[in-house]
Amino acid sequence: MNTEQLIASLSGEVTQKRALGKPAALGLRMGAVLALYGLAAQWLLGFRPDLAVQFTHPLYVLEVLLLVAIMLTSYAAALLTMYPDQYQYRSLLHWPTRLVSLFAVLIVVQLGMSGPITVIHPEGIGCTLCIASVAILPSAALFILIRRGATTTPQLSGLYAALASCSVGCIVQRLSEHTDSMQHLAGWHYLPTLIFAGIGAWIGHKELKW
Amino acid sequence: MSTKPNKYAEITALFCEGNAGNALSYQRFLVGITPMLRRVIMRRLPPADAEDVLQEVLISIHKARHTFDGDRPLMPWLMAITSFRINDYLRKAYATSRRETVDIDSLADILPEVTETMGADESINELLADVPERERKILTLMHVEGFTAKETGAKLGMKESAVKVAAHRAVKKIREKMGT
Repeated sequence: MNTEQLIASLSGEVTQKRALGKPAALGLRMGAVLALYGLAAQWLLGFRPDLAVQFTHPLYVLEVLLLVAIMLTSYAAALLTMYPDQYQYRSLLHWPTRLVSLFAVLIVVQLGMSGPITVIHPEGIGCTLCIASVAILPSAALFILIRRGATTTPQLSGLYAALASCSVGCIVQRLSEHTDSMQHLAGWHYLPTLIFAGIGAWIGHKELKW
Repeated sequence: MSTKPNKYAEITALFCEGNAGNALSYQRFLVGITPMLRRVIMRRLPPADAEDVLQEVLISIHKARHTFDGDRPLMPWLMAITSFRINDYLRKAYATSRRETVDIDSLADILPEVTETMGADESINELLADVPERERKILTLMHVEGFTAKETGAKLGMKESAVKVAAHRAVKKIREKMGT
């Protein structure tokens, strides 16, 4: 088939296709659902009894705020990647990585303050599984949503979708778990989150092609 | 004659009308952008492959048309899809060229004769001629027959360290003879 024939064929099958809409509107609708989901997960896991005291500690507050910021920017970036031109807001795609870098610095500083690294107990795997369990449904929902678009960065879409979902898990876990050992948090919460984000990138590469 | 901004406004309007279901406008849009896309593609790909990639891009534009709502410039959207498909094509082309193998027999008539038959006078014996007997034996045992320094020493009744020193001196003499 030559190009002229292709054009005639494509024109012949054109019908009114429902537009994807603006990312802000899409984000608010999906975001409301995810927020309810996060609140439900938090209600199930509960809050740590000393939460009010923890919120007087600046490093704890900074950690939670950065997690929230990473969640929101990753979510926004994942939505923007649904559009081939990222809705011409390409600069916003860099924000999650910048915030993750800042977060990594915070964790390393706190690790330095916590003294020598001791053996990380394998019971911590429960926290990782909890984060993964919380993240599965939002990840799946985001992947299904992104497939409705036409991403030209499938790996990035997958990575941000997984990062946003795992951030929800990390926040829920951080607000409910009565552990402040940075070695535990780094080893069983945040490092697995990065690994899950990498897995998300791989899944994105496989599943978000069009 | 339309000025550049008007030209894009017309194309954008045609695309939006096509998205709304107007087949004629959609066809005029595709016909209008084809020459520009072809130029962009041919800047990066060989002409033989450009038409295939152009058709891929047109199909992709058709599939992704629901992601453009007319509220932003059209050209970045078009160029993003075009770049995506060009890079996709290049990735596949590189992967295919790495996997493909060529039967070397098919190149026999093309490749120049790179090996030469060694003449009678081109022999390692010539290089060893000026080397003393004992060192010649050591080099032959170690580098021709493959014995270690320890094994060579055992055969010749020498210490391992003495074998190594003798071998080193012999190689040095040969290098001097070869001019390296």
